[in-house]
Amino acid sequence: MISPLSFENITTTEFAKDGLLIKDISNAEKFGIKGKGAEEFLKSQDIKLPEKYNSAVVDNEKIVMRLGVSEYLLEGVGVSKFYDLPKPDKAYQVLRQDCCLLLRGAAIYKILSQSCAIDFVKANAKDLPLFLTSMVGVGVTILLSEEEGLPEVRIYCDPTYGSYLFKTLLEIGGDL
Amino acid sequence: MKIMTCPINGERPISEFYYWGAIKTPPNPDICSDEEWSDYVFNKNGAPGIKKEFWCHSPSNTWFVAERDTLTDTILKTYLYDGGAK
Amino acid sequence: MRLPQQTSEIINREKPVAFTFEGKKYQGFEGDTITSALLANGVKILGRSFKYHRPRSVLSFANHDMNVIVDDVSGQYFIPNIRADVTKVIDGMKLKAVNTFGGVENDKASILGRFSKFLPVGFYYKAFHTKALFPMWEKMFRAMTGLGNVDFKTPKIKTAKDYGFCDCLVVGAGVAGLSAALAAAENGLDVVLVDENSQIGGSINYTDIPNELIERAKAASIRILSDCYAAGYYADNWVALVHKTHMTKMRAKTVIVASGAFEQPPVFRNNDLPNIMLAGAFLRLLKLYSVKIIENAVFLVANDYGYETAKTALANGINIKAIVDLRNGDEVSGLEEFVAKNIPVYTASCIYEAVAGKDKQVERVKIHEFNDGIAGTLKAEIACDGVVMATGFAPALNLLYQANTKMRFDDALSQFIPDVLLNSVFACGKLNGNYSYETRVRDGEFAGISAANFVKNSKIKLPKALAETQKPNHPWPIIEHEHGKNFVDFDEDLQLKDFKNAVQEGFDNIELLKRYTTNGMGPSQGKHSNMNGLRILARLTGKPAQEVGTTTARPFYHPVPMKHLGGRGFSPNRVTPLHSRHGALDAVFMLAGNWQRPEYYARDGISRQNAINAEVMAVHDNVGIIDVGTLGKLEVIGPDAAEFLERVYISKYKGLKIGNCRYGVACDETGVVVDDGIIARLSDNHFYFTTTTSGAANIYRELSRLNMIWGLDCGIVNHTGSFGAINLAGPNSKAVLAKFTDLNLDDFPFLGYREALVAGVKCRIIRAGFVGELGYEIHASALEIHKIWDEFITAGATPFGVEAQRVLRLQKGHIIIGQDTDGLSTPYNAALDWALKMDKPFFVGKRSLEIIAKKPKSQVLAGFALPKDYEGAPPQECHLIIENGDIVGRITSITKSPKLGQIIGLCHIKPELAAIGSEIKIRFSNGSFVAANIVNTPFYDPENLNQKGVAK
Repeated sequence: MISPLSFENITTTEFAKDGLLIKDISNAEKFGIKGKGAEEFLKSQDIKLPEKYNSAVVDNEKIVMRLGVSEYLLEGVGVSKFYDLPKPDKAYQVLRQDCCLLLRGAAIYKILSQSCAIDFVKANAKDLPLFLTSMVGVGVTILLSEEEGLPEVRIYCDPTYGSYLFKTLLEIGGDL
Repeated sequence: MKIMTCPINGERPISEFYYWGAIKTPPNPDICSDEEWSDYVFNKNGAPGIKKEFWCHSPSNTWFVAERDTLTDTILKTYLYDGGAK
Repeated sequence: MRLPQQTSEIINREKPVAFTFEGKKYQGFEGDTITSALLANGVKILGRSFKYHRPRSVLSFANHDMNVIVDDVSGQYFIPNIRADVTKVIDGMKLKAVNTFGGVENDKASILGRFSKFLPVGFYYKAFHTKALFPMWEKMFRAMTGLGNVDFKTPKIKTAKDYGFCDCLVVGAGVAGLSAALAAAENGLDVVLVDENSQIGGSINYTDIPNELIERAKAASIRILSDCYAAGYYADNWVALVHKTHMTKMRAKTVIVASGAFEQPPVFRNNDLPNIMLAGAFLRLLKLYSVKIIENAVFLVANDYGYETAKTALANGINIKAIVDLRNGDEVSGLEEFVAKNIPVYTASCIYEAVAGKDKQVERVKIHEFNDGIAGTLKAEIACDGVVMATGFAPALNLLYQANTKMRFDDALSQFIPDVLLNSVFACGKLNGNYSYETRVRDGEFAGISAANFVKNSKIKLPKALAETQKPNHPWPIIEHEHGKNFVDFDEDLQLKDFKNAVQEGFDNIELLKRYTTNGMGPSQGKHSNMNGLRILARLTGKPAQEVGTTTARPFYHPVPMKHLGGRGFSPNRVTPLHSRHGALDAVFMLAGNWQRPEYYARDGISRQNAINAEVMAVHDNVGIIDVGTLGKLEVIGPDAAEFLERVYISKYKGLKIGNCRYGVACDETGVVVDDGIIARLSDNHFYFTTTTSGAANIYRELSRLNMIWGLDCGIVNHTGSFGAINLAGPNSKAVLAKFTDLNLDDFPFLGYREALVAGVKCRIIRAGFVGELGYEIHASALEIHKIWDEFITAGATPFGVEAQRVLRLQKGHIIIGQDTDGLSTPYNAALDWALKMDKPFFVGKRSLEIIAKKPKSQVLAGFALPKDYEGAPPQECHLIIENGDIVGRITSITKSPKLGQIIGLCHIKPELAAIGSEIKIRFSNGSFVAANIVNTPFYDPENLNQKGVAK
């Protein structure tokens, strides 16, 4: 599967320097669903769901994100099979073609503080919190986590803004 | 930059929000006069005071109600819409 | 001269710095400011004043005055308006003073001082009557006014901006600020402490105050930002922090303002001569930079601070020729040391006049009796080479004004004090009326603990406030002189009599006085002049200071470089999934909102217009493809989906059959048309519909709101970015499509909807006719649509862009919302009444349309055409239609149709002039006219045979 970065023919998909990695991980399989019936559908597929609004859980190598009250974004191998299954009432599926960028390393806070008005330093990465906000002028969903003690964010955005977001984060990262 | 509290997403800079306007109950269009309807559609109360308004948190498309005191420029409370007239 | 090394100095004598000023070479040290380096080298005149070009040297040495401003011309581009007092000197700088004619030593414009009688306050409102002379005056003033020179070669420099967060932001790291920061941190808050200087500590660094607060602060876990000032306070404790290299937008839960007070100059004749300075300037030059510029000083004081400064002068080998105290003898204490050294102390006295020597520096002062502003008899005339002034302070309340603080004037202290603050904003220190070390420390603790209580919602015990006994601010340090030149505002060269003149002319309110005199409007923005201006106005109008009030203080506290404000300049760029394909086909892009769209595809050797025409003709004659991926794409799903659409759009949809589409027009509650699109029915409960490109986000948001309040059983999904779309159009479109799909295209009527695989990709296909030929609008997932595009190109379809599309749709009379409609367009006057179904029980806008239907139309939308043989320039959109000298309409769309060979367009026009065949007169911008005729639309293929695919 191609990545939205291909819309502008961007072939470099990774940028690394001391304490910082920026990587395009858009080609992971995704599935989206929203509505009062979304929870029922996912439970019927044995998906573990986050209890709190705007948080995520990892279920069997799938990331299950709860966006707000009743919208879910799933990422992981095999989730796209859910698109073809019948949906119960009030469960509306959302075709997810998001650009997803991974930022990892101690220096990510410096990029985040230049692009986004959220205090990630004070947030608790262990809770896998989600932030729906605006970053460099683009609506994004940010999942904060940590991996081996290093902070990590996955940033999801509309694919048509993906290459702009990637280029901008690279510019900021390059100037650090 | 003022802070607005989205009932679902929490505190955010107000630039993330869209202001729709004051919530007004429309007169019954089937029985009201043309004057009553025009007044509802065009006239807005500009006097300073507590306004009840629809706002939307754009990145998450969350619509909610905010009560604001426009005299003191204070946001008193925000909450999800709990039903009501059409 | 430069004194020998001392522990208090902040210069690094190991690192000399070479620079030039006004063409002469000088040497300083790393850590010197430009001014301290020049003064160490014995330079006497550092600048010239704005209006009268009087020679100037240091006054506040704290960025509270603009006596010393320089341009640096050493680099590839000038850096103008450098504030020399507070800017570190760098090796290689080539500096010149601003605003001089012939250099700072011999500024020819100083002759203006002789004409000051003809340049009273506000003279420019009165002097220039002859309009014919304006160009001459303009040329003269442009040459004479202004400060530094702007270099147009200055490159655009982007600097980072970042967000910061803390529990408590303390502004000012003097005694009170350090104390507040420590108290807040010790009570568990995450504290950021900022100070504009490169050293924290404020007066600790140049007076005899103990420095333990500095040591403790550095050891505590407080984020200390020096060389950083708070430029402005914005809503909800958002403070702009300006560092040398960038700006931080700090969001603090609490803000403690400990920004201190500005030393104020007393007002006497020639108080602006070089080597007449404020005590703080004297002390900082002496202690921090080891610069002594006075040998024989006269001190003009009205507080303990003045005497402490005098003691420091004595300790550093400076002769004090006299101390002049504005206060009566019984108010003064601590004179023993001076009496013992036979230093004369004149109480109830003032400096009536300072006199300059040949080097233009002060050489003697006349000391007179002083009685409430009036100088009495001469007491002594004293020779000296410098005057040090300490007659009072004015609080630095700028940020607090911006934070909606109400101030109260304390008569005993003769200063404004913050009185009512926002509940998360606190004040402490000198600006709160505390001038002694102990009271400042206590006040800081009080503020820090109060902040902690606010953040933690706790009730930690507050320390008891200490009463301040010092009264350092003289209420009237102003001395009348019949020959004037007793300056109140040094930036603007405003004398005492300028204020009297202004009040006499009726500008007797603080806001009017400021603007008429320009007091406080210069680069220091009133830091050294507002308080005296207020005192003068209070006296002249007989009102108390509280009633006179102050003007407010707006951001920025000090100037902020444009590059810091510009930051990186994020401007979101949106591209469709096919963007790279367009580039490969030589598309010339245009911005449509945030989107990059091909305007047309460039062809070698062919002009833009001809390329567009070729694209148009390709669609008419063969087959073209256009990327319409920018369209809004929404879905409504659920048992009430059709009901929902019927409430939002003006037509009916409950009866729309599955596999069919219908045009949709949406109005707002006032009946005005706001959007249009095509609505397709996928199943009983599932509709897929498009919106305009620019309306997509708004419509989705508003439909979400309507869904929320109507509570219908349906959900709305926004697929605008996740689907791409291609319009394949032209007589051969069917044949091309057939190559890549198994869908039976013979069973696909006009306004039908089908789902099928095209080039192996799952697609939603709408048969519509926006461009007026047989065509298919093919929607597919963003990550796969390119496969379809690539196949169509290989099959010979001609890519066409936005311009060609606009021509094609105009030929069909198809409207563009927002171009052919405006804020008054309803379905009635936008030729959309055919879509209006007023027999529905409810839809948004219906009730208003009922009212509008009863009124006569003031305009209609009509098609027009110019004669086929017209060869002149085409009129443009928004050119007006004039009848009998009145505006009767305007052009909304216009183009020269390559297919029809004539200029056609749409216009708004008064209904009585819209009969088919009537002549309209279109007026060009230059006033000439061209005639056109109202014609029927569509202009091309009026029976729509081609678009329906039934043409012979």
